[in-house]
Order: sequence, then C-alpha cells, then structure tokens
Amino acid sequence: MNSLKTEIKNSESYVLFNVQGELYGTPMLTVREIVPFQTPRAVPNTKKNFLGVINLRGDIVGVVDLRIWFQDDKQNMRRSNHKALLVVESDAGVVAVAVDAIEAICSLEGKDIESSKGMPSSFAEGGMIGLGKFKQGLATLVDLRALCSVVEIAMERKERWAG
Amino acid sequence: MSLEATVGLSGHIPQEVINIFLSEAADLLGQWDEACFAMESGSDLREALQWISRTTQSLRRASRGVGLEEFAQALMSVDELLRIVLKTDSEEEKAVLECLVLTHSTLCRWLVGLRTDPQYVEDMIQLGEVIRKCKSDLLEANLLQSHAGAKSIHSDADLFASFAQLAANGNQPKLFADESDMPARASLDIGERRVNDLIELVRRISTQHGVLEHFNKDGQRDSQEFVSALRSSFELMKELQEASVGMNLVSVASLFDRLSNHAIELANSRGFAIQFEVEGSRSEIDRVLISPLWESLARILSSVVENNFESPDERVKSGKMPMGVIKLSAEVNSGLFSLVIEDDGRGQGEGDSSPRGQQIRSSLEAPRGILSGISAPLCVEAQIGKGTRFEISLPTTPRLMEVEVVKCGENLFALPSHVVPHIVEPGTFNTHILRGDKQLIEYQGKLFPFVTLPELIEKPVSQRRRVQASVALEKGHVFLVRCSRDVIAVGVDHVLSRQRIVVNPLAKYLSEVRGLLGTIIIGNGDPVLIVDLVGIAGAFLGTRRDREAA
Repeated sequence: MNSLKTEIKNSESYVLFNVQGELYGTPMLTVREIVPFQTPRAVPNTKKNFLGVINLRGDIVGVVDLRIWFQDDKQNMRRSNHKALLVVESDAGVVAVAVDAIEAICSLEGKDIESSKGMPSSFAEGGMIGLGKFKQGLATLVDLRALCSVVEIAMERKERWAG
Repeated sequence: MSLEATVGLSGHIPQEVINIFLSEAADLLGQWDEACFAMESGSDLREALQWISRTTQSLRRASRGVGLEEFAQALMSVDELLRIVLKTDSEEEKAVLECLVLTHSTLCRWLVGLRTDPQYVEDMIQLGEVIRKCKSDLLEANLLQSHAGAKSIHSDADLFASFAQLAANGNQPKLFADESDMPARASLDIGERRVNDLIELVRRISTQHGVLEHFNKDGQRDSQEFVSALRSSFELMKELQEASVGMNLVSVASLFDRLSNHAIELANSRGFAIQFEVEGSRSEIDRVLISPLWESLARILSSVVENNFESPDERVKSGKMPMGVIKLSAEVNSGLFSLVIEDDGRGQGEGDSSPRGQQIRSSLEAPRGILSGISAPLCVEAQIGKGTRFEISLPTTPRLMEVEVVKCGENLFALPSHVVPHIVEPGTFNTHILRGDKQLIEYQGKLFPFVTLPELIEKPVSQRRRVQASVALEKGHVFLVRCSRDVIAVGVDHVLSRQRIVVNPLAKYLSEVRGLLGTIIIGNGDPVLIVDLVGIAGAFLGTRRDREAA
C-alpha cells in the first residue's frame, strides 16, 4: 500500500463508487471484477460490517461493508443500499466489497491527488491513498487490495457470549 | 507376542518358545527378501522400504516378546536407518539395498544358530559397520542438501558436530523430528494405481459427457436413456471426488509403528513391559491428519501407560496376565475413520475424584484439545477392573465430509455427521426450563443439557426467546452431540438432508471465525456453513461451567 502512496503515476484509472452518499475511489488495478450485489448468507460470530458469504461462480467469497475498516465502526451507521460488489483479490483471499453505486471509471493525474499524509482519516492506517479531485467531486482514494489483505472479520472474544 | 508371559523375566528361554518365534521370524524374513527383490527389480522403492520397515518392527516386537533382547537391539539400528531413508529423498538406493541384503543374511544366520542354541548371538560387527556407514552417508547427503549454498560439511566430525550443536540448542536434529516439524514438501508420493484409476475415471467421464451431448443435440432430454446417462454421470462425479481426494490418503501403518514404539519404550522406562497389539494398520487417512493424530494419540498412550496399569502382582491377583495389554485398532467405514485404544488395566475413569482420577483427567485435556481442532470427539469409557476404551472418529479426509443440512429459522447450516451419534425425532422428548439459564431435555429417561443451534453458535438468547425456542422445538429435531466428557442436546427446526460433500476450504480471513469448519454449496447454489459442533459445544459447556463455578 505504501508503494501506491509513493508511486502515484502521472495518470491512473480509478473506480469511483458511492457508499452512503460519500464518493470513494480505488485504483482500477486493485479490482478483479465488478458484479451485481447478491444477498450474502450471514456468518455468525463476525463483525457487523461483515455481511456474510456468497457463491461467486463456485467460490465462497466474503462480503464486507466498507465501514469494516473504519477506525470507529460505530460512526455513520445508517443503513446502506448496496447495489454492486467490487471483487478484490488480496493476500487474505478473495473479498467482495459492497458499494451503493458505481459512479464511473476515470483517470486522474498525480497533481489532482492530495496526499493523505497528515490528513485525518477514518480508515485504518495505510488504507487511504489521499483525496482525488474528480469532475464528480472530491473522492476519498483507498487501496482496497491493501485493506482487504488486513481485513479482520472475527468478532472480538469479549463480544462473544456476552449475554 | 503373548509368549512373553511364558518366558518371564528369568532370562531362560525354553526351546519350544524359540521354535514358535523362529517360524514367525522365517515368514517375516521371507517378506523382507521379497521386498529386497522388488527394490532390485526397480519397483516402487518407497513402498518396498515401508514394507521392510514394517517387517523390522514386527520382528523387533516378536524377538523382544520372547526375550531375545540382542536380536531386537540389532533390529533397532536397522529401523533407525530405514527411518532416515524414508524421511529423506535419498539417492543412495544401492548402498541401502546392499545394507538390507546383508542384514537379511545376518539375521538368517542368527535364526539358524538359534535353532540349536536358544542363547546364540550372531556376530554383528560387520553389519554394524555397514549400517553406521550407510546412516552417516545419508545424514551427510541430507545435511549438505539442507545447507545448500551455505557452509559445506567435509567430514563425519563436522556432520556430528553440527547435530550436536542442534541438540545443544535444544533442537532435535531435523531427521529425527516429527513429521509436523518437517518442511512442507513440494511433491507427494502417490501410488501408480491411484493415478491410473484417476485417469481411467476422467476417461469414463469424458465418454459420458459425449453421450449426454448426443442426447442433448438430438432433443432427447426427456428420454429414459438421457435420465439414465445423467444418473451415471452423477455417480462418476462422486467417484471422481473420492478418487481425487484419495490422492492425499496415506496408510496409518507408520503412525501405528511409532505409537507402538512410544508406548513400549515408555513402559520399559517405567520398569515394566506391555504387550502392544495393532489391528487395521493398512487403513488410510488424509496425510494432514497424521500429525495431530500422532500428537494426541501419543499423549493418550502416555496417560494409559502411566496411570492405567496395575502392578504385575495386582494383575495376577485379579486373574489377569502379568503383562498389560494395549490394543490399537483402526477401521474405515463409509468415509469415516474410527480409531480405538483399549487397555486391560484398572479401568479407573477420569470422573474418579481420587488423585489418580484427577491426573488422568488433566492428562487427557491436551489430546482432547488437539482432537477438537480436527473436529474429532474423544469418547472414553472405563470399566472398573476391566480396562479403558478410547474411541475417536473423524472423516478420513477433512476435504470430503458427510453432513446433515439443517434449517434454523431462515438460516441453513451443515453439521458433520460423525459428531452426531443420534438424532432425536420431534415429539419423542420433553423439555424442562430450570431456574437461571439452564434448559434440559428428557429423552429415554435421561436428561441432557439443551441448547438451540443458533444459541450455540451465537450469543445466548434472552429468556423470553428461549421459551419461544422450546415451543418451536415441539416440531423440531434434536441432535445429541458428544463433546468432551458430556453429551449435549442441540435443537434445530428441520433436518433437510444428509449429503456427502467436498468441503470448500475457508479463506484466511474466514478461518479465524470461531465455529466454522468450511463451507459447501448446495443444489440451489446457496453457500452453507459447516459448523464445528465439537469446538463450539465444548466452549459453550466450558463457559456454562465457569459461570456456575463463579
């Protein structure tokens, strides 16, 4: 993920997507495919932003809400209206990220990216590339492959058997 | 081997006992000779070596059984050599073969000597030298291989200094370490027969596919022939599943040999002898299960040797043979591997409140934990004065499993069939809600702690929902699950089907979730979670016990 931060090319394509009215972008090369949203089968003992598993052409793939990587996952808990899945092949396996809408695929020049250095970020450390200035508006650029590689879905021990 | 009792500890070996041993040993050496011949004629080297290894073990046990300690010692060094050969990708075939042929002729001479003199001991100097040289060459070759690109070892002194250094650091030299310590191998040894069977299956499936295509093109999809061809194709797919998963199966013979040696040597170090009987050592199991089985079974056997046997005098007084017997048996039935360890000791159970009972209980905690990790419940039955029986059952491979697909509310789950000894039909049990958060069911006059599957998997539900759950259970099924020392009743709404399925391995992030063994995809394409019933039921009961203790 650091390589992405430091090696922002002069022009790179990004997938722009929308989650709860917020615009996000991820380098196109980090996304294996985009598929329509399928209702996942819930998995017990997982965090609330892990939506479950789906059958993606014979492979079992976990579906996460982008908020799973927020440092404080209690913030902004409005219900999402997921419409698409960004399928990402990461070091931890294949993960599908649920998004509300795919806005566009567009390229962005390095000069239009504001580095995330020193910027307050709601994402786990290293997951945010910066802010991109697109014609659709200002988008938070995230490295989904890096984020998926460190995804943690298991419920914390203290949360289990709490009753 | 029961001859050992006849021989006693006096050191005098009657000629009739020797004669029985000689007859058995001659048969075993005949097999040894055949395996050497197979090696010479270029057959599967590893298979021949494994055969000789098993023969060596049998000869060792037989000779020790009649008190021929020197004979058994001589075989020990051959056994060590064979272990080294089998654990390394040796290219010293010729040297090993020469060594084995020389051993064979030496042992034959020894047997001839024993025919006339029960105290006869063959001169082992020449054979000892050859074995030592062969071992040293193999170790050096292996060490050089593992140090490739690093420091070279030029002499035996360097070689053994290197091993000594490893030992001084508290590390066992790799060659003698458990399989679990060995680096993952990039290649697997698979018998030619298995590969040929698989190729044949693929050929039959291709032919069947052609038949189906033909019917499809001709618009005969409603014909009886098409339905029949489709059914055959399903059967072939099932066979293909079994055959491909079978590539990873290995015989438990070497595991049993190691366990037998472990128990016998442990007993010897405690100053008594045991008789170890093995049955079903040709049964096969997935190679990934060998290591956890070794770790758990070795601990169970240690507990048996250390706690379960009476002294020889006590045994004789209670009408038993002076020497204790441990029987290790395995069998595979419908994809389920069952393993039983039985002893004829004092039969003191872990439920006993005496210090020995507590010791047994604590010594079985670790193996239970290891076995729970491979979803294999350990059942222990002790009968005072008669002995103890340990039973473990698990699928022959974690990749192919028989499961019960069940429904709870809107959710579907798959439960491994091997951990569910009994399914209770609706209407044949009563539920009782006790004060606090306890719920019991009464079935066939016995009471079992009860929990619904969703409650077991997730957080405990509220008292109000629990009452609703028990009402719903009037129409539901109850699974009696054996877990650790208890049986727990687990309620589900419906049992949909029993299926033999290929388990989808879990992605790294999913494998960290408690209570999951894997996933399957059912007919309509839905993913279904396979629940680790043993693990979660154990955690549930443990939590409940802790709460009660608090």
